Amino acid sequence: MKHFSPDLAFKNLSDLWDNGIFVRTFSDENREFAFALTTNLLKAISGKNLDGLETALKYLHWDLRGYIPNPNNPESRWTNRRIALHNEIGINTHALNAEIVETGKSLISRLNLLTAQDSNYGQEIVEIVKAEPEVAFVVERPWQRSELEALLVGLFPEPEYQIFHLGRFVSFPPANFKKVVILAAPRKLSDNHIRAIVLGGISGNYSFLAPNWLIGNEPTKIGQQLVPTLRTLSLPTVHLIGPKSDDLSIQTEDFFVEDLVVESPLSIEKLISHGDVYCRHIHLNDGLIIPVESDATRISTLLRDEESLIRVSFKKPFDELTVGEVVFNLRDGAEDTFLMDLAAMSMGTEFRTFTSARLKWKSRAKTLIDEFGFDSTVNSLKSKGVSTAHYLQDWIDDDDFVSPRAKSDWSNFLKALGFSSVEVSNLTSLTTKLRAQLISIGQQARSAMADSINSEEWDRIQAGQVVTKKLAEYGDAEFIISTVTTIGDVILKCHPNDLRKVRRL
Amino acid sequence: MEYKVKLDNESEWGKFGSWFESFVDLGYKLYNSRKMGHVYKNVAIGVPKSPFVGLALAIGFSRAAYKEGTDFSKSVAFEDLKVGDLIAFRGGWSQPTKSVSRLPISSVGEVQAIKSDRGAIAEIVFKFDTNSMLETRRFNRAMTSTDQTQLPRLFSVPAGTPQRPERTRKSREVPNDSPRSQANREFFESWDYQVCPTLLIFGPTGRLEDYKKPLISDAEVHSKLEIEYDTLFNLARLDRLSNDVSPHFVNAVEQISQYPVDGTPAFETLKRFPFICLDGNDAILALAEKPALQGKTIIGLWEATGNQHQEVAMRSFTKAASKYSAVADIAQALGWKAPAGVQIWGWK
Repeated sequence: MKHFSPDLAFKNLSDLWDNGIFVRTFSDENREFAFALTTNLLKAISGKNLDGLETALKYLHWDLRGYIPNPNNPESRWTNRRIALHNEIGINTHALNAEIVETGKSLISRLNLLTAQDSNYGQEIVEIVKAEPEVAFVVERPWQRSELEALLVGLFPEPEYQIFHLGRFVSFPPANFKKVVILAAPRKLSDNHIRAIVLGGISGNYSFLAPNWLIGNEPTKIGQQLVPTLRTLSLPTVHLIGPKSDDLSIQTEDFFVEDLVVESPLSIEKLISHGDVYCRHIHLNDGLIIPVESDATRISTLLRDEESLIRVSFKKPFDELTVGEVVFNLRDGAEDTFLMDLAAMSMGTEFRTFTSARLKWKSRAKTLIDEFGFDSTVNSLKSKGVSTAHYLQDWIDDDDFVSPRAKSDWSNFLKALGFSSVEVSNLTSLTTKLRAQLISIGQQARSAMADSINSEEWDRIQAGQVVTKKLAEYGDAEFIISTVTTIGDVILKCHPNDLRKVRRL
Repeated sequence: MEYKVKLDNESEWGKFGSWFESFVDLGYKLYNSRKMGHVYKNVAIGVPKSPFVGLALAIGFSRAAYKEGTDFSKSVAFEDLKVGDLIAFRGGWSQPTKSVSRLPISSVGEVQAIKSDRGAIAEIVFKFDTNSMLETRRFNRAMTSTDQTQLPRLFSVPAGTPQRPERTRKSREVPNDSPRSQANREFFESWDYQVCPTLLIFGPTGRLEDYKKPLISDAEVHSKLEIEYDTLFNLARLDRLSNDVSPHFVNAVEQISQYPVDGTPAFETLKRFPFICLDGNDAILALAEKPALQGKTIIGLWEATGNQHQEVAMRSFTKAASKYSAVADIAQALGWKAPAGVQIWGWK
């Protein structure tokens, strides 16, 4: 019998309890000493209002913990960090005592050593892929995805590995990963994250990869609070593979710099005033709108059916939708990354083919812009049938971009960038498949949202309030739900990034 | 439990992992524990994912309630009937086709009028708290048979039993390749018409649909019912709290948003259930501290995945449980072996 989600979750949990969790370590003396010095400096300047220096040190903290060196330009990160630190110390010398200045100089020396040699982390990662090409990597910070991709893309031309961000991974449904390697020290993970890994049944095969100086002096102990207010009754065994650090003073130090990561603001984005997609506005309460294509054939609504269940129902927005009906949409596009991750999971190696091709066309488009300038490139693409080429910069900047909306634009674009007709055919069918996956996952998320509304919230919506709902199992996708106050008659021109999002006028 | 399951048309018959039987067993043991006087007020179960766990529990509760045999419906003679009584009217078995038997029609309502002035034929007029419909049932007092399953019958049922007019429902049909014996029909009725409210699950709507699709063949139950298989929903003897369809009153499942308002018929029905399952973190968060659930055994299925609600849901649950004493090892007390990685805590 095929595994369905709950079955797989319990199987994964059972496998995890049988196999245990592996913590693989390696020594990395240069980063170890640099990290110790960074931590000491952060503590020493704490409360002194030296914002610039503090920020420089916080970036350094994260880089020493998890920067994956780019093989094409391995020294640039540490050079930049060293220069930034040198400048900040220079600017703030008057506020620093001699000991702090000396520590800073020592740190700068260490960064010089890293500039010359910093290959340990990358080598460990490459060895993992060689041993298990279908490994799924989980990175602690979003920016590590592109760092890891840059390390591996040249070494493994037909990649089978996958890369996910931890914050997204912990919301994944149970899956059949061959091996999951988390690039972090277990003790550094938050309660929620380690809980999902240990108790969530997402995978039955976990390893952590971390430098030995980061794993603490009890590396086989899961110290986080897995169950709030209650004692966890049993845990899988944690196996340590690799060297422990000799310097316990570093292991016991822990300086949290979580505030470096800035979450997206909760405010609702304002409507972009320009664009070229014909649209109409559906007005909600509190001055919010959803711009919808003027030829759209459906929009999601919520209703109570004859059995009193709250369900998602689709309506023609400009024929069937009426004032007072309940509509909903995502707050913004930030959740797209998670939908993309889920699609990546279900498409497997096909998704890898898609992302490799995306890297390729973005690189070719950037080369054209560098060579001919943006305007000329756009004009050239338009003359070759890419009618929306003026959005080229958006396409390049959007990490999760799939393809232009019009199929003809997409195939003409690929042709213009020199892809062969076979490649164009393969890529267009792949993007069609990916879009179908994204639509399917989006529909599941909508159903889950309808499920999670309680009667108080329903009453508030009916009373004209705007209600927001966050879906944990869909990467914290946040929906905004409101009754319709007006359906705009005027046909306007909208920016594609505004379509089907909730915006403020 | 000897069983096989088929998830959908495309899949083969197979089995769930051992977790499924484990949770069926837990439901069974929780039911019996309460019957034996060991009343756990709160039970928190940490699971990776909650879908189908509540269902497995409901199957365990259903089996336990059947085996234990409590049935709050009591046969009542026409002569003892009074206006205002809450009565389940049950017809006799019929055979619409050669190969199909139809189970007795069933309605539950309050007696509004009794008319018995036309010889043996009497009429009972039922009214229902769920709508303004009136239903008149003719009752031939002269009919007798040694096989009660062939007769229309009256049963007194407790307040809170979901009221439902028969005319809005079609009674269930079952295959009848060889004639069903009286013993089989009696077993079928004792299973399909039992009134023993047990477990009410609050969870996402998706569950309602999910549980109706898969088929299960339970050797013990279905061999006695003389059917090959049934839906998981029916094996768990589930119904909707707000839209009762089946003649039994054993387990129910409802959408979180449909938690009933005080004073409604569904609220009266809720009062009858000794066990409440809050299926998933949203359900725990929304309902764990509802005053109307005090005194019942609240089972929280707490999910460990996702970024939100884990902390706050568990805190809400333990806050509601804090007025009771924590049990040192509820799994051991129940004699239950949890699946690997599953955590369970109890309060008495």
